[in-house]
Amino acid sequence: MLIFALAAFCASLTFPLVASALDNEAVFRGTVRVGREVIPDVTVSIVDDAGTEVGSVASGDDGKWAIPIPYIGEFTVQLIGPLPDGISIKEGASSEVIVVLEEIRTTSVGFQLQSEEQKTILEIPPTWERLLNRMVSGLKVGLLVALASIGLSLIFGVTGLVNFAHSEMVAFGAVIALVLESSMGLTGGLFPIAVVLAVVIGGFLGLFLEKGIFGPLRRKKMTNISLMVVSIGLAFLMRYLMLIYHGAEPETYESYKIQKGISLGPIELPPKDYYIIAIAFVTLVIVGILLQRTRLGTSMRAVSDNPALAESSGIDVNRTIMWVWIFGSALAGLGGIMIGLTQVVEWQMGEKILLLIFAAVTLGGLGTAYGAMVGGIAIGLASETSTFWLDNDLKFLIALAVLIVILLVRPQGILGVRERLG
Amino acid sequence: MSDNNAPELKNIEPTPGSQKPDPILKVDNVVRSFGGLRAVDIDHLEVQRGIITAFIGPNGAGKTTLFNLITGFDKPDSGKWTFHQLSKSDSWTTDLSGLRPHQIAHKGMVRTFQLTKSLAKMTVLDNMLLGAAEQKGEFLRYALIPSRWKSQEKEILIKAEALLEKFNLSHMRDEYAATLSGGQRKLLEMARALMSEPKLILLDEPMAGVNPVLVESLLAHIENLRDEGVSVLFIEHDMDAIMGISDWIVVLAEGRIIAEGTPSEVSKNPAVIDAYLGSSIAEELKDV
Amino acid sequence: MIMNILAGVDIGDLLGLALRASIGVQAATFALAAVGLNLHYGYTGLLNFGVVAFMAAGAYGMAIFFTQGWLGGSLILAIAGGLVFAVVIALSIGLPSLRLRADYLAITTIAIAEVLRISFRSQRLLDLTGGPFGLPSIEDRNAEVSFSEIVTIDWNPISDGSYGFWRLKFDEQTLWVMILGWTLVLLATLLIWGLMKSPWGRVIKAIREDEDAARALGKNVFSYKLQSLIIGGMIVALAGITRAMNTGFVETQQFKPQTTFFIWTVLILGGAASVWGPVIGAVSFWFIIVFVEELLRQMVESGWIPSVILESNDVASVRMIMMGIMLGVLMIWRPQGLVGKKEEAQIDVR
Repeated sequence: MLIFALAAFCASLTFPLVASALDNEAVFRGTVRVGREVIPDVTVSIVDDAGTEVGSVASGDDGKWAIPIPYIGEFTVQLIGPLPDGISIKEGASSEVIVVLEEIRTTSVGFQLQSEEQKTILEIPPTWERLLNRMVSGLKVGLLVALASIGLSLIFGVTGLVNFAHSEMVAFGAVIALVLESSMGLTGGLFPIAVVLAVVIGGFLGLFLEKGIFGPLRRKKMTNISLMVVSIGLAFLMRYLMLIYHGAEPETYESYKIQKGISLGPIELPPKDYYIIAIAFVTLVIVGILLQRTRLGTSMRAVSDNPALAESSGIDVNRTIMWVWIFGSALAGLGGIMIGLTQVVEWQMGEKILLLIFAAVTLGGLGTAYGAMVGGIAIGLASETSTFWLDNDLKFLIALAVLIVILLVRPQGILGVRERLG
Repeated sequence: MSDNNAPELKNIEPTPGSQKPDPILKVDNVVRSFGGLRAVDIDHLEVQRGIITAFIGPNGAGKTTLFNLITGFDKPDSGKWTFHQLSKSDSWTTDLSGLRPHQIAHKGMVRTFQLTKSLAKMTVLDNMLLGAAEQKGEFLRYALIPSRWKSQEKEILIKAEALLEKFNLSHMRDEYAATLSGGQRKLLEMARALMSEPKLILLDEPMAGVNPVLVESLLAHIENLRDEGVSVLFIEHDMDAIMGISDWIVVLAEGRIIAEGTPSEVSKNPAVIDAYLGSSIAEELKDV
Repeated sequence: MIMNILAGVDIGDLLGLALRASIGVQAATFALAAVGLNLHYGYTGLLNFGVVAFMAAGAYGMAIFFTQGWLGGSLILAIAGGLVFAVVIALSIGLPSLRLRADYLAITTIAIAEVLRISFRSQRLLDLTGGPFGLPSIEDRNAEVSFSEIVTIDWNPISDGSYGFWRLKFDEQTLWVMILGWTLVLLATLLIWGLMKSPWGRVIKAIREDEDAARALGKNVFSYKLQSLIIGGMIVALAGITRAMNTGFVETQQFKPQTTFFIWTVLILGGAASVWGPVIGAVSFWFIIVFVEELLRQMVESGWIPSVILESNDVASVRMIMMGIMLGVLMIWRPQGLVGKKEEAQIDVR
């Protein structure tokens, strides 16, 4: 028994999802694959016996999907698609699987697919339409990454801290919005209220972190490296609290769940995506205007550029830092909510997006908000468009490669200023 | 003020960039710009062997930048500088331009820093032992074989203790360098630099922040260095000190050499007084 | 009230499990990795946030060499291959990025570790690395010749049976791997101790404190940092190999950044820049983690903690939360850890 316990500890180290909702939530899950090859971005949908849709989600980079089931009964799990060229449902099998759920538990559902090609690498014939769609998708992702990154860049600018917990603010915003939506019934037209509330709460969390943790520690003269390590600890704390109290299963918002794509020329996207692009873009523009035109914005830029000089010009540095944390966290939360709308909301959102945000901020220039915007859009475009040529699971490699190269070649990024020599 | 310690200087032209009878260091066309500003712009400079040469000039004249450039801690936009060495039978020239700082130090040109870099978390003795140039045990392949470096370590230890004795730091040998006073740290840095028996030592503001009581002994140590054959180059602002021990003075302003000469020649030079115009130093010069 | 809680809790179980964990193979693996990281960060001042990259290099290197049958399929040579791979990784990280200041180096090392992990996970490398499924491939996993079994069975001199007393009973395989693991830890610790006592170690310490001072004294700072990266990297690679021998497989899930931060926590808890810090850190860390986990598990099961706060499934996540809290608390209030020296504790951005 004890040896089993020791082995279990070994296993639980390697699989953080041990605490998955195995026994107290009903979930249907599976992996879309042909033999060993996993297929991402395939939508799976579940309807109950009355034909009401229970949920729909696209398979992730690892081909995995999971949909929570709110009640017992008989369900039809449908493989909607799109399946890449050359892959199809096996002869004699169906794209629909009927499952009867009699108790609260997890059920694995699989589809039988076959491949017409013998090669191990899926080849999808390129068309310029696909490329264009990828680019638009990249623009969307880029705008959201930009939103999430502004805070990280500015916090570094005004305090010198590389805040590893910033990506958890993204996840936090998304999760809070979900909680608000379901607990207060703010679906459909009322959803924006949940969004606004979640963003405000996110801002408060940022305020709390600065006032309660990082501000006092800075005044205690702790070095930025030590604070960076503290932020790493904080990131783990936040992430796993979210795992415990929100759960392991990826979820989607009730609102705007099922939408048919609307075509704008060669581009086909669900309407919520158009809204997201528009809202994100407008938000960034507003942020830009606020930074340029308001006194607070100007002090943010000034402190970020040269704290000593800013202070001697009469700017209240501590107040500026406080507002940077508030706005940065709020924007991150907004980014998180919109990412949740187009993908999924899950406890690991922060972990998945962390290095993307870092790449965006270093590319654009650590310390400048505009840098974060430029970098975010660039990274988003680059990584999404790269899937046109590269395997899907290598998407992050592009962002990481950019991050590494920039740090080595031009650490101040595109818009940053080279550090004054010692 | 002593002009007659270095008789060979009597016949040198007191002009910027003048030739010296036995130069240890020659600098040519070194330029360093920051943004649009030329921090250093030297056409020609020769440093005489075996004497104490002082670099002076108003703040921002480029003195420390020049130090950084010739010791490899900064890269110039252009220019070259060479190190001229003598042994009993031979003389040779090394081109130092483009070499990395540790390589230049290894060639025999060692520097100290304005903000003392005594390694505070190491003991005084460890600081000294670190300064030695030829400890085989510092190489990875010998590090784990004590027999290869133990005897060297003993020799280095004797040398270190002798130097500490000379600099009056023996009683602090096992203390962390952090516990030393500012002046003691300067002494430690100087002593440490001597461990590798350098030919040319560059002192960046050795008097800065030092208790006036210690200044005298510091100056004595510097003169001692010269008497033992080490060429000394130092940057300072303390006019008394400069006039007191320097054999030769090079005056910089806005990155260029505006004057060279013995202390008495320089103090009478109108260009020099102009450069310091408005500062208390101009007054001090007049008193000299 | 405390007596009531204590009554519902089996202290014997708690202590037993915690002690088992603190001397087990997990602890040894982490101690070994911490010894390597100690050279990087504790002694040389390199902020290596890509520790798992070296573990992956060792583990995957060994596994690939072995399963591909290179070098005659010998396990010893495969292990050597893993170490060589670690050196390659050290050079790839070090040559471009050792000039960077501390926080940039930190980000670069995480990024490189993730690049390695994602590449290994890629479908394209399925034949080499097993892609998302790891090595040995699922079909081979039950085959007779696995690298793990060679070590735990073929090379095992201990006869079958159960050894130990009270709750610290181990079977001959686990005991053997424990002995191997802790022996490696001891050897690595001795190596580092010897190195740091030597003049080489003196230069390293000087570099940590002030690189320019070291340069002004004729030391080739870049070369020393690279040496430190390579030696420490090889030790960490050994830790990766040890873990692979213990679990029986390598898989990219094992090499995520959270493992790097576990090792960091272990090092800081024990005390960076101290000879025994890594070992003490690993042993203490596992003791604390398992003790608290088991305590919580029992309290949840006996109803002392309402399910609103914590459920039995959540307890594994508590481990990560504890790690996060420990990291923060240590950095703020006791950066020198258990046996480190206060003066050596904090490092600035250089």
